[in-house]
Amino acid sequence: MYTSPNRLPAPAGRLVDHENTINFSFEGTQYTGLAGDTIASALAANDVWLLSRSFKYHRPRGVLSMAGLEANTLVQVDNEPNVAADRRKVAQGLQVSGQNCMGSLANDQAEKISLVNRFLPVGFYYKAFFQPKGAWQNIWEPIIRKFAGLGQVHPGTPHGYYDKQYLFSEITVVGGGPAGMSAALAAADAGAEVLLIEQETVIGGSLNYGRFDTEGTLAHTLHDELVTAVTDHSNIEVMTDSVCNGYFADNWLPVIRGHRMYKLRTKELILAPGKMEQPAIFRNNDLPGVLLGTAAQRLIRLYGVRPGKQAVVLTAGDDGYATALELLENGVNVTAVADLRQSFDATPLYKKVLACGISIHKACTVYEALPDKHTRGIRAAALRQLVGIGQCGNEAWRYDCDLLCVSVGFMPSYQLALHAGGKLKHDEAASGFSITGLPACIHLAGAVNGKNELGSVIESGRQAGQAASRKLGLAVPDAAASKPLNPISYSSINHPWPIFPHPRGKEFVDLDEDLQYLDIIHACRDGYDELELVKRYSTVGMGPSQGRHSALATARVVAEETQRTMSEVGVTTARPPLHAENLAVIAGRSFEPERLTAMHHRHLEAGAHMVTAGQWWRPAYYGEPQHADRWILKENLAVRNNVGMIDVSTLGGLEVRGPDAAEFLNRMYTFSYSRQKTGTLRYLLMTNPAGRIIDDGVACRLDDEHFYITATTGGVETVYRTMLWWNAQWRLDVDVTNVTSAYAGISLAGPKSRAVLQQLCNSTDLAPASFPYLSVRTGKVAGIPARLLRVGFVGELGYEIHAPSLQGEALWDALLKAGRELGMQPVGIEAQRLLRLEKGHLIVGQDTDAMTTPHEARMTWAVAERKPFFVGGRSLQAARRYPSNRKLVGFSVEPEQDEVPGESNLILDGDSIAGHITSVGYSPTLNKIIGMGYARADTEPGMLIQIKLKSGRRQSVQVVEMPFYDPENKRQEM
Amino acid sequence: MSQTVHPTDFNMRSPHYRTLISAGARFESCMNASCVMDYGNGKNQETAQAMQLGLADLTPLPRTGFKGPEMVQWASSAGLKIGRHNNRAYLQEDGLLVARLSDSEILVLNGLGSRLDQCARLEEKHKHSRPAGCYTVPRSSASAWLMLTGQYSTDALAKLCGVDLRVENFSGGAIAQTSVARTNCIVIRNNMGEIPAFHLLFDCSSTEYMWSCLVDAGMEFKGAPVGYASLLELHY
Repeated sequence: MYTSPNRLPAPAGRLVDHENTINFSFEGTQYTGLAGDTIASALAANDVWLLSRSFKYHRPRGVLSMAGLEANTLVQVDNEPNVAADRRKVAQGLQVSGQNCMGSLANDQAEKISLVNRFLPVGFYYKAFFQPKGAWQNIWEPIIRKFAGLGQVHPGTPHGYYDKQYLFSEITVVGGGPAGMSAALAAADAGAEVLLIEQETVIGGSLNYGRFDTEGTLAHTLHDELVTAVTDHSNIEVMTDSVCNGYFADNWLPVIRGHRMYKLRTKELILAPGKMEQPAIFRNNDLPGVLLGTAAQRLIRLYGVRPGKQAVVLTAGDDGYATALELLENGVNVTAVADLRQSFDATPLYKKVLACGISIHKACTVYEALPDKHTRGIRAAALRQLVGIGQCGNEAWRYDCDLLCVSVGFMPSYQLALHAGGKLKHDEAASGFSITGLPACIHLAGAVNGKNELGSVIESGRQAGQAASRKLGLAVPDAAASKPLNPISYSSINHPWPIFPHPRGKEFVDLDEDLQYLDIIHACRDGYDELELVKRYSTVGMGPSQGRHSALATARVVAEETQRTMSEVGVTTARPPLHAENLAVIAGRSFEPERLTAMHHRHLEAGAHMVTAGQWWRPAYYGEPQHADRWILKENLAVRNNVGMIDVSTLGGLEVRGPDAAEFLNRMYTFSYSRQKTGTLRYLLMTNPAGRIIDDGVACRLDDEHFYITATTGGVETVYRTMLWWNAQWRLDVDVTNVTSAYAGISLAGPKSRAVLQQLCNSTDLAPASFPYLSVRTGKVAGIPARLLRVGFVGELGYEIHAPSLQGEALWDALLKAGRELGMQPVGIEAQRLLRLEKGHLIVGQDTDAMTTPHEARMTWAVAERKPFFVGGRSLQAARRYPSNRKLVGFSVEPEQDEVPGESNLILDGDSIAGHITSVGYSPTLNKIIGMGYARADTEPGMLIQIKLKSGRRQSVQVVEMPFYDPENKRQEM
Repeated sequence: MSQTVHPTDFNMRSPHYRTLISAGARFESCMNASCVMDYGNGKNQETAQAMQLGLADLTPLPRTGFKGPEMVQWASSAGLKIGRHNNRAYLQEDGLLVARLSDSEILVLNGLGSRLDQCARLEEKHKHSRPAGCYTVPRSSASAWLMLTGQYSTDALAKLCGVDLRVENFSGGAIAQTSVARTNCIVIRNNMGEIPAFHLLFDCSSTEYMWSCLVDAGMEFKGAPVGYASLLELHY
């Protein structure tokens, strides 16, 4: 039989199942809760109120709002730190513990810090830790690191599955309380598709737990009526347990539910998030047992938990009396009500409390909550008569209690509206807030619209729903026919100054950061009198609750201290996220596109070590990484002495077709293409308008109006985009199509490459005279349609075979088979890079940078200066008047060195930097270390240049002519 | 289609045929390539799967494209009936689906039930007529072709794509040229009767990646790969 000291009998507790118990542990002790309980409510049912220790002074803390709004309830749940105990449901076997304590939660040794709090005033770290020199690193930082943080992060925590989903809605209502439900119904009735987002497990909002009348039945009646209508409406989709955590441009809303972030786009947005009850500021207002009135009501009505045995209520309006009645009816002995007001109308709720025989003290406040050292909660409340604003007289009462409920005012849940650009305005006379300046697609309903009386709240929702529907062009009743709303209804719920300083302090303004009344005063007196500065100096509002319970009090104190109005002081900027969000939700299921060539799996099967080039995976070399140098040399020599084949499918490919194709290339590239003959290749060098090299490739002229051109792997998208951009202006009769993925490419290179290809290529005469260097043919290879390019990037007889990509693997297989007897070797990009270095060919992006001109790269041979125009041509003309002070040179070093030059090593000119090494490697063919880099422009072969090695040592190396290998180009033209 | 074959029996191979084999695919020859006929789960079960959430690889099937300022004129002369609206797909009498991507470009998908390479015929016509201002686009080799079917297909795509693909906003024949799992993709709604279905065409080098993303997105809806046979069941 399940029993708990504070559990009310069934059917109390709308969210709990009295028939279904849950066992869990807290601080190593086993407890039993009910299904539907939160950790906090289950512990409260077991009379456990101490949940955490405060951040700075390690003061005992417990439930305050029961709404997940404050740091008080943060606990460690298994491997997960900083879990809000008043929101996380208990689960079978859950292991919960307190956090931020030395020793146990009940006996936190760090609590002693509180004894020296007078030596730790606000901003003390700014004043203390910077001196003496070195003290920060050696003394303070280690100490602070030890104390900093809350829960424990366990690096070994298993990965969870988190993801995202897009969501769309015509009208989204944030907040499933009376205003939100009313808004949703009005919009749905008008025919709109409505999404209603509620952060609790059920919709209903305050109707689930609040008391609005003496009999306590109004909320029930309205709840059943509205909830039924919403859930039955076919146009309304309800998302519970979902937090709308921010507002971004164009009605983009991140909605988090469980492990998923929904990326919601909505046409119209209705904000009905309700309001946040605010604490009163008095001595020991932070101790367990001091609850907001709504928290007590939530415990009773949502979870069937009696929040205490003996209570005192501090109020400034009807809410406190409603709380008192709720407590009384649920077995709590309410001994006194302290009402901050001097005079007020005797409302039915007040009269009923009075009739119950409860002492009601008008113009009276709780001056101090007296701590109970045994329970770590409270044992009594000391009341004082008010003699002025925030001033207490000597007349005093003391009431024993273990529960002190505070109902002195509310703040609208303004954050989302402010994310959307709204401005929060304060009505000084009525101590209420209004929000203005929102985009037209955002509508406010309920408390954020300044409505607090239940009838006005529901009507406000209805009007917001209709307004949003009207914006969508739906037929709704005439706005003028709507029932007018009471313009100011918040005046009755907010006390203007529920702040009562105590000579001995401990009256907390910000519970997260342990900031007391005087801390805010001192911040102002230190000169930080603007709210944003007070925030940064004192850290007020910077804790997990993000000022939800401290912003109002802080603004009031700053306004008072600086003799300004609340409107003048304002509030600090509200930014997303609204609530703390798990980083996994943001990181979860990110997409990292990958591109594979048609031969990818053949590379893997051959033992290739794959590396990325942008999104592409390419084989670096074939073999184990620990012997990489060996494989690279082997592949290099295979090409030089025999034949190798390289997967070049990642090279960009573009079809340029149309009557103006040649003219188009003339304008896009530095070379000239007008007279290029059909069936030939020509080098392509592209510069940007500033004359800097941005890409290269080859142009294959397939017919008068058709070029097939290649571009670099990383550059093709830019080249394609740039071409479209230019031709949008030129309007040449040409079409450009990016066919990069349409073709697989295989480079067959080496003196025996013709012999391999001949076995598979009956339709094309491969003889040098028929198919010379720098020509292109179309035909079939192994029955696969292909374009054959005679190129010489690696400086040997070679062919690039471009074939439809879906047939790429078959082509690879056929070539591999044909080359087997000749000992053909698959070659990776590392060997290819070395081979082209031997040949002195540059790689754009590696041997050039964003400022490299053709002149610096010694590529002027590829610039047709007589052309009337090409992109970058004018800049290059102008640059001739200002010669560059650097150029690309080749150098070589004997291989027997303790330390060899590496890529990016600096090339020095005295003590100045002349450039850096762009490519370097050991050439087995030449038995030298060869490289390229930028040196002074007057550097010539035979001269020495100085290289600053990785170790810092300087080494002189000799500049040599390029290419390093086969300068007469005989081998590639075989 | 006829007897069971292996993808490597053909030169033309789906880029991720190994993944399909791992999933239990049974291939049959289909116009010079091999196409996944089923996954060995039985006709009824696989059709039910396609109705729930099925992912089919249609990459071996023919498709083509034409572009250029005179594309519409040439396509009309070639017998294609193309409406005036871009980003709409127009079903031809012979089953060809012509997706009008812009004023100057169409994508043509072979009829699902056709045993003929209708796209090759069109390309042949184009080659023969050599129209000025109208060029072919090698879609068959450039773009992979997947099809997502079933009642949860919209939900699964909502995990990958930021476009509202619900039927009320993205009706039959609608086209979105958008990003799916951060990869450029052409999404065409082509419902099969009452069953929602989408053609997805994207860079063929991303096939393995896209397939894995779609499988992952479909897991919560109990999605699974389906073969061509189940699509034919739904198609007819």
